[in-house]
Amino acid sequence: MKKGMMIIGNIVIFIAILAFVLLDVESERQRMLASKTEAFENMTVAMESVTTNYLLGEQQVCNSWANYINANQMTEEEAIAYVRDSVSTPGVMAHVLFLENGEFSGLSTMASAANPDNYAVSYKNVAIFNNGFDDLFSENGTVNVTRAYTNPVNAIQSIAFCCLIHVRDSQSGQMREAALLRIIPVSAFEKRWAFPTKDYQNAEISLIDVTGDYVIKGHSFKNSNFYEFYQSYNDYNQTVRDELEAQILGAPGSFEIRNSSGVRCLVGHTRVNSTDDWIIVTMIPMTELKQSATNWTLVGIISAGLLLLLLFNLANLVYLNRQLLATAKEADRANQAKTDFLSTMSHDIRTPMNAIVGLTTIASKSMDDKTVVRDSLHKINLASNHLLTLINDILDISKVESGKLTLSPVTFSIVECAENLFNISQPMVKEKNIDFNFRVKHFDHEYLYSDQLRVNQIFINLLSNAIKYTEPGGKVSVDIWEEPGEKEKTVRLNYVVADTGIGMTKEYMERMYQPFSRQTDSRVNLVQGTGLGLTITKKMIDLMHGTIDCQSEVGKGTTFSVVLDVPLADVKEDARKLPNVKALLVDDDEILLETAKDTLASIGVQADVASSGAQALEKVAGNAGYQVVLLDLQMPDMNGIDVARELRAKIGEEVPILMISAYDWSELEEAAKEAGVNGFISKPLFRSTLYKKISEALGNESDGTDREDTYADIAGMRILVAEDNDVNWEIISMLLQMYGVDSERAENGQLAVERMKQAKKGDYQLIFMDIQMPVMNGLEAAKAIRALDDPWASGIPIIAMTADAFSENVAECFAAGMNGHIAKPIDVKLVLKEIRKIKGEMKA
Amino acid sequence: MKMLKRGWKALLLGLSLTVLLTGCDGKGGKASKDAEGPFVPRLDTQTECEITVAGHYNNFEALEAEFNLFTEYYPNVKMKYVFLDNYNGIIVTALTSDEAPDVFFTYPWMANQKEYATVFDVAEDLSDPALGINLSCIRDNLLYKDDAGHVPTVPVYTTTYGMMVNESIFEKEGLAIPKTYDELTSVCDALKKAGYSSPVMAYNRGSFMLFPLYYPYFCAQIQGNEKAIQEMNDMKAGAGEYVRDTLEKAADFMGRGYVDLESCNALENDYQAVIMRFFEGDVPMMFASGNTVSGTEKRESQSEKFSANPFKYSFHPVPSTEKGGYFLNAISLSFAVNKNSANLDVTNEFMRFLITTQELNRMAQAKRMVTPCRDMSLDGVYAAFGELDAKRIVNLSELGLADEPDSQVRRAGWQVSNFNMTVDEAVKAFGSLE
Repeated sequence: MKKGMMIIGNIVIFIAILAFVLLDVESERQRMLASKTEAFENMTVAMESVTTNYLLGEQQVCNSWANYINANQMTEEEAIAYVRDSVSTPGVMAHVLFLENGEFSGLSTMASAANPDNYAVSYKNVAIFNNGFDDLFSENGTVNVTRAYTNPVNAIQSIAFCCLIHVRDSQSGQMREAALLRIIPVSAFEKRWAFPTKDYQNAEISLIDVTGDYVIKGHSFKNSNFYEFYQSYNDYNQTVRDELEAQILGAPGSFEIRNSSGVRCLVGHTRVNSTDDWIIVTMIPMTELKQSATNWTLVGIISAGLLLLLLFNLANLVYLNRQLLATAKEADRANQAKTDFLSTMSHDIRTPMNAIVGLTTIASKSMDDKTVVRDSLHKINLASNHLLTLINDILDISKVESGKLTLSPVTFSIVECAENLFNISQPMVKEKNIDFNFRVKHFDHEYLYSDQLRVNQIFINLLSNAIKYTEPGGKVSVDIWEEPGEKEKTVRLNYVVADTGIGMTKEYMERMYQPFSRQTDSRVNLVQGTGLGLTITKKMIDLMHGTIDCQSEVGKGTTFSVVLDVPLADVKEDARKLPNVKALLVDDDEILLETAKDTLASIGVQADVASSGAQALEKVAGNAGYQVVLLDLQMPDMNGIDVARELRAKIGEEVPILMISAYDWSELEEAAKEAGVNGFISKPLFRSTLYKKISEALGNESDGTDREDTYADIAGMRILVAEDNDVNWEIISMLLQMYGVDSERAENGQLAVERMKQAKKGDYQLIFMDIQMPVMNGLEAAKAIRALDDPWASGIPIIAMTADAFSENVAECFAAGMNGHIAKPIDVKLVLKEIRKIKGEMKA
Repeated sequence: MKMLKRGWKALLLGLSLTVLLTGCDGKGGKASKDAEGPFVPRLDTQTECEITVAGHYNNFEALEAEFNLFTEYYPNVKMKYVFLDNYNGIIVTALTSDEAPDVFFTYPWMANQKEYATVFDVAEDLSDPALGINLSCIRDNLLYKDDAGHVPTVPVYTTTYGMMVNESIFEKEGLAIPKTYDELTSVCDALKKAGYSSPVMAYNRGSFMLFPLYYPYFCAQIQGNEKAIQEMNDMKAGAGEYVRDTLEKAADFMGRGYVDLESCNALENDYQAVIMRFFEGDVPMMFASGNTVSGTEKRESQSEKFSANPFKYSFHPVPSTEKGGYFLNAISLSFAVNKNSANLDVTNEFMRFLITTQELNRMAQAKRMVTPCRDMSLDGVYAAFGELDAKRIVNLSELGLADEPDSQVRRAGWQVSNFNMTVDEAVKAFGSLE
């Protein structure tokens, strides 16, 4: 659906819901209004009862007076006197009026306000008896009451309840017809007759007669006639008048009018049954009836909520659209990257393959020329290694890109890791004659818990880059040291690799972590590389929540700094110490002196340091009682051999001298021993190495055989190799045979299990197990072997030998009960190392 | 509105009458304007009380509209108009009663009558500067001042006398509305011939008959004749001669048979009955006062015949001379404040609100009366009065004629109009007419 349609749809839904709410509110309002209108009408009708009761009560008082007067045939004066005595309510008075001559005059119970001596009263100019008394004493009405009029005695607006009486003429003695009026001030009547204000605060009430003239007039009722009032402020004509009159004179009900202020009001009406022609009309502003019928707060909240929802949806829609757009662009980029990747891979794989194929052809055609064959095989080896690195990197970057790269933490020795790093780098360092400084400062914690393979990979990648891109004769330094970690039970591992290589441009540095990015430089092109190493390194560091920083300048070199917070392993640190040995350490490298002194102290050796040969000679001249001397081979003023010779002359034959060197000492070994050197220690000076060499020098441990040189320790071993691929079997069997190791093949996992079931104790010392095999794979086979009843068979070491090289594959192997993992293509050194490791464990 | 052409005519009328009735006193008008501004309440606007205005109008919508405006400033003040039966006979009593009104009607004729002394005794001096009432908006000759120079009562309406003309009849008969006495008689003759038995009608109970014809004429005759006025006020023998000319005018008109007395006697009052009769549509000319005209608009819808057959009508001076008629301007109604009012402050505040050009003109228009203000804005029904020459304007309050000789003039006119007396008899009986 298009965005516009969605917005319109949202707005339509919003409006529809709002309209529904408003309609519902309006419906409820109308219902409430109808309910309140009905209640108001009912209240108006109820007022009729109140009115009738009141009027009847007053009329009865008047009637009782009349009855008494009539019964006693009183004179006018007597009647007035009687009534005056009977009146107890303040403000109420009575008049006795005679009809003769149309004068409507008589006597009052109260004197005129203007003349206290005058009790005479005349209604001649008060237009309520225009038609005589007949109107008041009609047969239909039970209450005979006048409209509100101005009492001629006190000018107070009043109503009068009337009775026909007969009084005796005091002079003639004849009975005369007269009217007895019980007169109530309107103000007094209104106090008793107020409309209930509890529910209807602004309601007002009036009494009108059939002509619309007010009998009692409420404040908001205007004019002297209700119909005129209606006419004055509403649309009016004779038809309206007729309809209005018919309604008012009909059944109780209500209608709307506009009052003198233009306010819409509801008028209720009901006839007063006790009188001939009175109607109660009540009036209340419509706003009062409409009050509280509508919960506008709720409507407001719903409206605001809907509006917010609409805005939220629109914002979300815009956001999602942008996301989709970004995702589409990303997908395009990924697609392009994939294309680029395949193109790059095609090129990068074909290049070493070209070398391998070509050189293989050359070798096969030149079998008689050993030099050509040797050179070809050497180059094929180089190309193979590059291809392997490329494949490994591709697999890693593939996992990185897919987010499947996970860490498999194990307990490992950072010292061993550093030693390994040093050892691996040595061939390249020596090949390029690089001034290599490898400094490992004091480690309080040797064993860490992290993904050793990945840590190694990070270290190796950065170091190999430094060596690769440093011209021969240049400098490369490595510094590894430990700091307290920010979290408990962690250390901060610092790894800094600095070189004086070709350096990088700023432009390249901005994209150096992107896959397949290599600097465009003729010198770079001379170096083999996949362009994936830095990418993988950065991703791994990110995965470990570490940081990597790079400082580089073209032509001057590059420094990479890596910081990793690594958890400590839950194992006891190596606590081996030498018993209070005093040593002299001689080296021109101040940093080495400092770090080596700390390392020596950690194994119980108290070292004096000398930064030159001359200073060393001075130190021993003082007969300081050194038990061992550690002497650098290459020092600027005096080389180590010369110093050793002079030291030996001074300290005698008893104190061993160990030569320290970062370089291959084989060429100088003979001269050194002649000068009095007892042994050699390779830089960097690791704790374990120092402990071992010093112990041996002091006679605490015997020097071990150089196992790199001979393979007698493993010769004669028998290994079961589970391998379905014939070529792979041929390779491994021949390699093993080269080192005197016998092997036997099982073509799949099932056969391997069968062989182990049939084998006797000692038939095999080890199993190399391929993983992906027909019939039964290596993992299942390992589990089956571990499940065998024979303890020897079930406990035999099993090393995975597979092309499944990822860390999770390794973890699966260990989970299946295997003891190690060797990735294909196999490195024979690793194979031999694993065999020796197993052999050592068997001895233990 | 079916009757009058309003618009620019009303505007011209207002402007011309402003000049005429203020006696060309430009200063007064300017002073009035300068003194007036938006009403600013002086009291606590939350004041609560009830104010009653008592009068003899059955209803007083124009005043009630002012109540509504005033209570916009004082929402807690309840204003009420009360009709008093037999107002003239009861007002004195009412002013001394427990429910005495706060504001009450007064009329010029009350001023010099002893029985109404109380009316003026209890009246607040509205000229008291402390009250802040802008009396300068009232035309000078309309303000009544007592011997002490106090202003106990302020006019709110003035009126005049003339004839309501059914213009539709005149159009139908091809006649022009008469501007002179000859035209009047000619028109009446024509109407008689056309079958109108009584071309002119008038309320005949009391002393009203032909009053709009002869009374403005009489006033114009003696205006400025101090000797005549003095002798009439002194009721000297022979003073009736000053009325002769007037009475002969009445006798001449009646003698021509333009008025059917029987029809006129059937009119029960000079307000409702006169209006409703006129709306029956067969009366070409109805003599009436401005008070009567004030009730016409509302009663248009009350008259079935008028509703069925509406017609155009207007109010004109009765052309009593060959030069035309007169505009006799007289106070119709004044308000006084009861100084014994329990809520005197609020009552005076209401008067301060009401006595302004804006409010009095608004009230005059609402009731179709003539405003007492210098700056008038008359309803269009009075347009014909705006066409009169300035010399034909008579201010009754400036005339100086006392009540009794004035009453004698009315009685004489009524007697002659009803053929009860000849002109000679009436002149001779002047001063003793009942």
